[in-house]
Amino acid sequence: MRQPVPNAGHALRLSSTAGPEPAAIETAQALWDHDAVLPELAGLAEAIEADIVARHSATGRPVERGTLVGRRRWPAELAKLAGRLPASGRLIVDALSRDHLDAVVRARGHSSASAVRRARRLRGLVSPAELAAAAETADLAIVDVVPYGALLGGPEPELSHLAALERTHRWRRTLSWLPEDPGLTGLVLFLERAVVARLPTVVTHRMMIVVEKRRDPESNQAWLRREGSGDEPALSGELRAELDRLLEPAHARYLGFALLDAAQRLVPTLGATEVLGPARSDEYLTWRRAHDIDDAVTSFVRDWPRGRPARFRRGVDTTHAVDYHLVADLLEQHFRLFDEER
Amino acid sequence: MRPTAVISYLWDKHLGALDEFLAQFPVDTVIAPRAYCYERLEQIAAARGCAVVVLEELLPPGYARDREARKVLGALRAQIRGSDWSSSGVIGEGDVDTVRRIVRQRVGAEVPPAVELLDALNAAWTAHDIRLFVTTEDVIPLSKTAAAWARKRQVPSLHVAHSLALVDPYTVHAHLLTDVLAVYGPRGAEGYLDLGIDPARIVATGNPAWDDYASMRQDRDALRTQLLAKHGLEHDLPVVVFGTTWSAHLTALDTGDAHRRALAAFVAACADLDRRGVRFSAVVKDRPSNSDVGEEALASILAESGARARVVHTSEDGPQWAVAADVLVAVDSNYLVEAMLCGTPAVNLAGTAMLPMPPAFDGAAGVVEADPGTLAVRLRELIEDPDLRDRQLARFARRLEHYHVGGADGRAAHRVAAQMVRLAQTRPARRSLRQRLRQRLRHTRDVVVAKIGKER
Repeated sequence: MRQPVPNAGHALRLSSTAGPEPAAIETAQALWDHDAVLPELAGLAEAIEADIVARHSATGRPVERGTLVGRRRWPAELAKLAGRLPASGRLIVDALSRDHLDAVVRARGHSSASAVRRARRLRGLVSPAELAAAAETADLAIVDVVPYGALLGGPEPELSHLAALERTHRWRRTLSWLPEDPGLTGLVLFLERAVVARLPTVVTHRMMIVVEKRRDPESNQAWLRREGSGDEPALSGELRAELDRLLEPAHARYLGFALLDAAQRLVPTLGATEVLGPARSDEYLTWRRAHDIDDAVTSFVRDWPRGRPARFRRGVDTTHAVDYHLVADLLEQHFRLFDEER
Repeated sequence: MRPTAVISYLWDKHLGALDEFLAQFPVDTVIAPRAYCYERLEQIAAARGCAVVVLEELLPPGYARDREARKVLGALRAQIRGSDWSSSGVIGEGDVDTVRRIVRQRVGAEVPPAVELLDALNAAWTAHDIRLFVTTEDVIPLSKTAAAWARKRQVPSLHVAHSLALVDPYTVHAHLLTDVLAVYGPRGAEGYLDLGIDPARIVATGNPAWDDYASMRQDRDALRTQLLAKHGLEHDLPVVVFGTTWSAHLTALDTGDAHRRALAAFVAACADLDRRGVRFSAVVKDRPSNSDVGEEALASILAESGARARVVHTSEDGPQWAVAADVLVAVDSNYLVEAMLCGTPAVNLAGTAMLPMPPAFDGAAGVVEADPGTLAVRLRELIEDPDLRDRQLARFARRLEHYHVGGADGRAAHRVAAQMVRLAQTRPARRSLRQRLRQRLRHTRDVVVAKIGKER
């Protein structure tokens, strides 16, 4: 009988690694609750929130802060918070987007029964129509509703519009540069302020609602109409130039493109050229198409021989030998990707 | 009793693991394809008392590849002729006849050698009791075929990664054919885990090809002196080494022009630093396969850039330069992990080889990220600021294990060998006739279900 040999290699068990930190996947899932964000993003979340509050705090006028998150009957909570305001006083409250959660659950389909159940338990979900009605009841004028946190994900792994990405090591590796790279943080803050804040509430899980204590039903209705209009903001030339500069580093460009891709899935009317300008927009579309081509080529190489058992020799599929060069041939000769500079 | 055997598709650089394996698990024969019957393999086999058999020589005399491959080729050609690919998404755009031609050409070139290989492997199987299949990669045509055969035959199989997958495995890389994949560190598993491959199939062992760094990194001063003398470089100037890259054209995310673009970015950064009066020596460490083209490319780029400084071009001493350099620059490359192993400050040049993608290193690893536009500044910081260098090296020390298990302990070959022994011992024990019949029936049922359930 042979002696057992000690296992001198490290089997990759998720519960232990050779390094000083716990496995990335475990950490991410352990931290999820409806308010938490990944540790790499904590500083960013605070920065975004502070930025929104600062933008909506006019000097000389006091601003109250509050939250509707977790409140079963949030319109009543809103009215209660408003009750503390002086006339024309301003209030900024945190809330969660009903439209966003509905869109995420719909996108996940029937496989997310548990996700649907968890989503239903969340409180403080606000839709634009509900907000307009609650504002009317409480004699409040809606100043602004600011979706934010495109990068911050949803309340739980299953309920995030970035769910597929957040499960991956490559996304966590990307985020790990945020504390290291001020340019990357600068890009995210810019996108939040210039793009995300101006999109409908469906675009992110979190929002801040800015109201003032005065009656203005026409203004509230006008806001509701704008919300539902589907008109998407275009960046001014100056802002596009700044975004272009922020997107110059390769990894900032990856993060920017990935966020834009995710936003477009939730807001299909959001066009790349409105945000990026023609040159960068071409680059973005080339990038997206490159992923589609890789997927298509990988599937084609796997599927084209199906239905021909005679391709097997000694029980092995002989087309394994074709894959490697076929991929290069397809990219070079059929897609002609390398004929000129990209 | 058939002689016991191991089938080796290991590259020369990984043979240290085979050596240690054979010390613990003797076999009668090592079978390897001719291309992998290295001198070192012969030496190891001789020392461990086993014969070396060239796989191709197991084919019967008079074996006629083209005749044997005829039926398979016929079936595949019929498939190509009869398929309608015009509506298969992106593939169906443009000229589908081009696709047909491409597939037909590749089938004609690659399938007959695969048929021949499978027949040779079958001959090996008949004549030997094969305990293990081990390979350095499972991507190029014949290695992939052999790995698939081993899995089909239930020969325990190990793929020792040929590199740390710093770029996530795309297209041709996006699979695991063998039972187990040995990666260098948890970082090397990330791309495969993201694909959904079962973590139980991945082990982290370190890279046997890097075991020599354990001793080489102690010899920094001597190596540095030798290399500087070899190339006539000044001893008191810091040396910045650039490792070149190349475009494999295996993903649509490839810019197609990585070698020239990255090299041009490095030369431009050197020229910028020269203009600012930063003094250093520049070395371009090219790949041996690039060497003739590489020297010309460098010369033409230098001429275009108007850079005054001399840039040494070499294709030798890769590991020695990793130890001796003051700063090492490379492109999403394992050379940067070697720099971590050696304690050499490192810069990853992004934005030349690939379209925008996730970073190769994590933020805490200590490998500096640069783009063509920022490379000069990043190099200057590392050349001129010893505290920054120390901080980066301290990060290396903390994160090295994530990239390379065992750090620089030089025992990766030992750990890979342990995996090989573990696998070689898992071959099912001899079964009784009743057990073998039962297995046969189960297999038949599975095949029937599979045929009904899905396309074969």
